[in-house]
Amino acid sequence: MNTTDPQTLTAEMAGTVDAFFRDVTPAEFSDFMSEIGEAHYRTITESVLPQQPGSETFTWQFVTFDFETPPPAFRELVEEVAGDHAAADHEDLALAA
Amino acid sequence: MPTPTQIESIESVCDDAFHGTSLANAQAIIAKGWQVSTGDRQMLGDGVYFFESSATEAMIWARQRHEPPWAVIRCRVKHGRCLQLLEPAHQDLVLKVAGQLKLRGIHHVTDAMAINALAKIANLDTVRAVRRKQSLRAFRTGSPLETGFQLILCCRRISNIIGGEIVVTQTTS
Repeated sequence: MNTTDPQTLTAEMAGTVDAFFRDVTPAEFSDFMSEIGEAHYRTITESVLPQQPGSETFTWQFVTFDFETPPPAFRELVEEVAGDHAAADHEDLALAA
Repeated sequence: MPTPTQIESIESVCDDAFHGTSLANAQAIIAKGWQVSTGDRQMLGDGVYFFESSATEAMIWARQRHEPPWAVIRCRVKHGRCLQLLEPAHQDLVLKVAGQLKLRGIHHVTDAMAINALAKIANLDTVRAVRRKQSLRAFRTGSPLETGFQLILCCRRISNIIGGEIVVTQTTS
């Protein structure tokens, strides 16, 4: 069992914070902020069920779409539609021939 | 990306962590497990929120935010790597992170954002803080009997929540 006193913990945390902001590159910082949700996705839920609009703690859900890396379901949908179009094109070509 | 240094755990446990919500939510939590609340309006950042040592405060919270019937779940929560905002040095750390975020162009830094950033950098499990509320009791300010405070525990890591049982239900105010 690792146990330490709050002073030790505080010193370690302070050192970690200093090291992070000293060493982080702009690109890494951008990734970091994305990971904590600053720009991409924030949702408010309380426990299991979502809060209702109008309740005191309700906050709108913000979603920013990143079209370069769409989620798998979206990508699959696009590929499915594209595949249908491609198949239709082949049929048209076959009929034309 | 710099790797956070390992912070040793504080192996203390809160034996009386109370979460107030609707009865339906409470039953869903018991059946399906916890879900972390996220967003910039969360007081102490992302996590599951508890009142330490007060089922009454948890019930009041539930009644202010949910339709009846209400319920309070009691759990044990391992503090783990804990940001203790009762500690001035830990408060300073949050302010330092908020200042660094502003320096790097984040114009609107909320408490939750700064705590979330610090939690990610320092790999934190929980955050503890005192919240002052409006007291309706007659004790003077500064009195040891003053009752206008709540001890809030925000658990960021679901695995630190041990057990969970519905201990109080209420259908009317």
